[in-house]
Amino acid sequence: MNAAPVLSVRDLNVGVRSARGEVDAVRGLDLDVARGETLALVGESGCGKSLTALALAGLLPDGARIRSGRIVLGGVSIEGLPERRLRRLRGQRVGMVFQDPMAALNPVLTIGEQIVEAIRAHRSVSRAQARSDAESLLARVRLREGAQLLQAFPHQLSGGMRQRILIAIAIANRPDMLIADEPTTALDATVQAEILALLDELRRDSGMALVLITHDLGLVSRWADRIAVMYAGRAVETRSAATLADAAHPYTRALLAARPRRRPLRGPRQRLAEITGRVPLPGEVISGCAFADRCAAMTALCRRQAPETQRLGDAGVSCHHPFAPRREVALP
Amino acid sequence: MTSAAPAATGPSARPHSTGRYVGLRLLQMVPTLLLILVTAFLLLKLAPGDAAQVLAGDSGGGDAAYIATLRQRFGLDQPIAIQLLLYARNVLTGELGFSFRNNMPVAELIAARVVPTLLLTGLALLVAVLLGVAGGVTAALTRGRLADRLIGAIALLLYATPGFLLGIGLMILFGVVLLWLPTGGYADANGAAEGWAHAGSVARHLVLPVVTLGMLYAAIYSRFTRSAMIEIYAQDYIRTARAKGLAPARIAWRHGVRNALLPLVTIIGLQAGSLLSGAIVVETVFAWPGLGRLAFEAVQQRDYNLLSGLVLCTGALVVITNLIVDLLYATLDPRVRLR
Amino acid sequence: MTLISDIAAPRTLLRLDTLRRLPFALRSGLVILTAEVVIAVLANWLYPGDPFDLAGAPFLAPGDDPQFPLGTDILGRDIAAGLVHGARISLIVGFSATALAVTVGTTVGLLSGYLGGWVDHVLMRVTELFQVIPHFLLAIILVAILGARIEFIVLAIGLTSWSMVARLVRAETLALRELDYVRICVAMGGGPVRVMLTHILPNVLPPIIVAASILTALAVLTEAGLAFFGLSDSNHISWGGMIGASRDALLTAPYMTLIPGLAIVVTVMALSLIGDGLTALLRRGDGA
Repeated sequence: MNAAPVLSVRDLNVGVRSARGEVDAVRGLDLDVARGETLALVGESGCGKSLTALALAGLLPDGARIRSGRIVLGGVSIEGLPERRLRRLRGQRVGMVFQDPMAALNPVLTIGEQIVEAIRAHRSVSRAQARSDAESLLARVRLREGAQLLQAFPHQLSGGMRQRILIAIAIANRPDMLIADEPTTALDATVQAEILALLDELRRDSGMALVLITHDLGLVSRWADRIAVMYAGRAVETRSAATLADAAHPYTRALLAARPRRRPLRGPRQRLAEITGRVPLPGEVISGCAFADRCAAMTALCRRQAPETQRLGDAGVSCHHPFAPRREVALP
Repeated sequence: MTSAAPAATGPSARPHSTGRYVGLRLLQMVPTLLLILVTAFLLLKLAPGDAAQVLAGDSGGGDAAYIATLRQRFGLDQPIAIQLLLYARNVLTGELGFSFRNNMPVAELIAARVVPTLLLTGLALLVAVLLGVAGGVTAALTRGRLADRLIGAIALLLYATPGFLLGIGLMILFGVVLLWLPTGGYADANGAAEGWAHAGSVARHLVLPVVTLGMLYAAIYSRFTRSAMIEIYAQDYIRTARAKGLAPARIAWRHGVRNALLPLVTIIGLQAGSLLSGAIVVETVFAWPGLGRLAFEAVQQRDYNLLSGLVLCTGALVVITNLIVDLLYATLDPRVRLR
Repeated sequence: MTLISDIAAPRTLLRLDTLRRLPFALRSGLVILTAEVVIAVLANWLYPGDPFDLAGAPFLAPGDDPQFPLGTDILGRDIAAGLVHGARISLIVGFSATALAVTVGTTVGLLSGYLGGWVDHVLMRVTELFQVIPHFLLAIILVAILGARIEFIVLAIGLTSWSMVARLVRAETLALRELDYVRICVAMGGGPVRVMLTHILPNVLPPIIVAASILTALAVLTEAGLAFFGLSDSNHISWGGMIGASRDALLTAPYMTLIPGLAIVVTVMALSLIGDGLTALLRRGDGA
C-alpha cells in the first residue's frame, strides 16, 4: 500500500433515531480503501453495512447522523460537512449504486434527461455536449444504440439495462470512489455476473475505488481485493480477499462454513451448517462481544469485555480468541 | 460482455397509439352521453304537470297553437320510446324547448351563460391548482413542523366552510367594509365600456367569485399534493436524485411535483362535476351571470325545461372535461402513452 | 378532509383497542361530534317549544339579554334554540343520507366488482352517470321535483353521493376477489352471495367507514346549501336556513349569520377529523 488511501474511516459511529431514542447502528468502524482497489463490505441484514455506505456517500437519511469519527475522502474530511458541501461531493467525488434498479429511475423522464442531469449538476457544459457525453457513458457500460436509448423511458427497459444506466449515472463525473450496495441482488443470476464484471472493468479503467456491499461471500472471493466483515455495527474482521480461507474471526469462519456446497459424488448430502442464534437488533445493549452468544469459542472473558482490534499480519480482527493463522504465531 | 438494444416497445414503436387512444376514449364517451340524455328526458317526464305545458314553460298562458306544435314535435301522444328518440333528435338539432319565464329558447339561454361559467370555473381551477400545489409541496417538505400544521389547519378550515358562507364573508369584507371590490354582477353598470376597460371591469368582478370557489379546491388539492409528495419521496428514484448531488429545489420540482401531477390530474378530473356544483352556489351569491345562477333561478321558478337542458349541458361539459383530463394524463405519463 | 382515493383497505380487520391510543385528530373529532349528538338528542329538553316561535324582541345581540344568550334573529326567534334544534336536522340528514349512499353504493360496488362481465359494465355506466352530473344540481332538481321535505332531502343527497362509495367498494372487491381464501371458498362451492357477504364485505368495511365520515361531512354541507337556497323542510329549522333568513341583516347584525355558520364549520371539521383519524388508524393497523 504505497499511495495514500482514497478513503479512510476512523472510529465511525452512526446513530439512528428509533422509538427508544438514538441508537448506534455503526460502532467504532475503521476502514481503508486504496486507489483502484475493491473493498467488499460483508455481513448479514441489519449489521450496519448499508448505513455505512450511506454515511460514506453523505446520503444519510433524516433520522440518522454521524455521531463521531472521521471519514476522509481523497484527503478531505467529510463527516462534519454541511449539507451544501456534501451535495457537491455526491455524484462527483462519490458515486453510488443501489440494490433495486426497477424503481430507481424517474418514470416520467427519458434516460437521456436523467443522465444529462447528473452531468450538468457538477459540470457546466452545454446540453449538446452533455448529451454526447451521455451517449459515451452508455457505451462505456456496454449498452448499444445509445442514441436511441437516450430517448427511451425506464419502463421500456429491463432490470439489467436499468442497472447499467444507474451505474453510468454514478460514474458520469469520474468519481474517486463508487459505492455499490448489493448491486446485483435484485437481478437474474446471469445478469449478476455481467454487472459485476462491468463494475470491475470500470474500476480498472479509471482507477477509482470500489466499495462493494454484499451478503454473498462467493462474490467476495471472486471480485474483491480486500474484505471487511461487519457484525452488529462493527467491523469484526478485515483482510485481503485472497486469504479469506484463513479467516481468523469465528463469525467469518462460520459464514464460510455456512455456504452451501455442491453435493458430493459419493456419500450422503451434507446438511447446511447454520449459525445458531440471531443477529442483535440495532441498539440492543450488549456487554462484551456482540457475537459471544453464537460463538463456539466463547469464554467468560468474551461476555465481560468487548474485544479490541488486533492485527494479524495484514488482517485486523476483533476477537479475544481468533483462530490461529497457519503460518503465523498466535498472539498472547 | 453482452448488451442489448431497447426492448421491442422502443420509443418509435406504435406512433399512432395516441390517435387510437383518443378514438377509444371518444367512443367510451358515447354511452355516458346517451345516459345523460335519458336522464334529462326522465326529468322532464317526472316533472309535475303535462309535459307539453312543461316544455312550453308552464306559465299557464301558453299559446295553444305553439303548444300543439310542441306536442307534435316532441311526439307527446306517442309511446315513450318514440318520445325518447324524438327528444334525442331534437337535442341534437339544438331544440331544447322554450323558457317562458325568461322568454327565450332554452338553448339560447344556456349558450349565453356558458362562457361566464367557464371563465369562473377555469380561473378558479387555476387558482386552486397553483395555491394547492404550492401549499401541498410546502407542507410535505416541512412535514411535522409549524408550516405543515398551519397549512393543514387552514386547509381544514376552508374545507369545512360552506361556499356560501365564505362568499358572503369575503363579499362583506372586501365589498362593503373595505370597498376594494364590487359585491356582485358581471361588469360595471354603465356598460358602455369597451375593450380593455370592459375587460378590466369584468376582471374586478371576477376576483371574489374566483377566490371563493378556488379556495375550497385549493384546500383539497393541497392536502392531496402533500400526501402524494410524501409517497413519492419514499421512492427509490428520489434517492438516486439525491445521490446525483442535485439541489433540493430541483428534486422537489423535477422529480417530486412532476410525478405528483399524475394523480393530481386524475383528481381534478374526478372533481369536475363538483366544481360546477360549487359554481351554482358562488354564482348565486355574487350574482354572476353563469349557468350556476341560471340553475338556481330555474329551481326557484320550477322551470323544468331549463333544468333538464342544464342537466344535459353540465353533464356534457363534465364528460368533455374528463376526456381532456385523460388526454392530459396521457401526455404526462409515458407509461400510458407508449404501451 | 380525506379524499376517497386516500383510503387503503387493510387485509385484516380493524382493531380498536382503547380510546387513549387513538390519534389526536380522531379523538377531538369524536368528542365534538358526540357532544353535538347529545345536544341534538336533548333539544326538546334544552329548548322546549318551537324554535320558530317569536320568542323575544328582534335583533337582540348575544349578551344583551340573559334570557337569550346567543341573541335573536330578524323576526325575534331565539338563536340558541335554533342552533340546538338545527343540530338535529343537520345530523339526521347527514347520517341518513350517508346511510343511504353507503347501502346503495356498497351493493352496487360489490355486485359490480365481484360478478364482473356485463353486470359490471352496466352498473359502472350508471355509476358514472351519477358521478358526471354535478351533485348539487341534481340535488336541487330532485328536491324541487319531489318537494322540500326531510325524506326527500335525504333521498336527494343520498342519491348524489352513492357513486363515490360504489367506485371505492368496486376497487376493493376487485382486489379482494383474487385473494386465496376467497378462491378457496368459491372452490368449495360457495355461492356468490355467500362469498360476498362473509368474506368480502367484512374486509371492505373499514374503508367504507372512513368514506362514511367524509360523506357525512359533505351531506351536512349540502344540506346547509339547500337550506340557504330555500330548499329545506320548512317545518324544521336548520342552520343553513338560519343563514338564509338572516341575509338581509348581514351588515347590521352579522352574528345572526356567523353563529349558525360556525356551527356548520365545527361540525364538518369534526367529521373531517374523524375521517383523517380513521385513515391514519387504518394505515397504522395495516403495517403493524
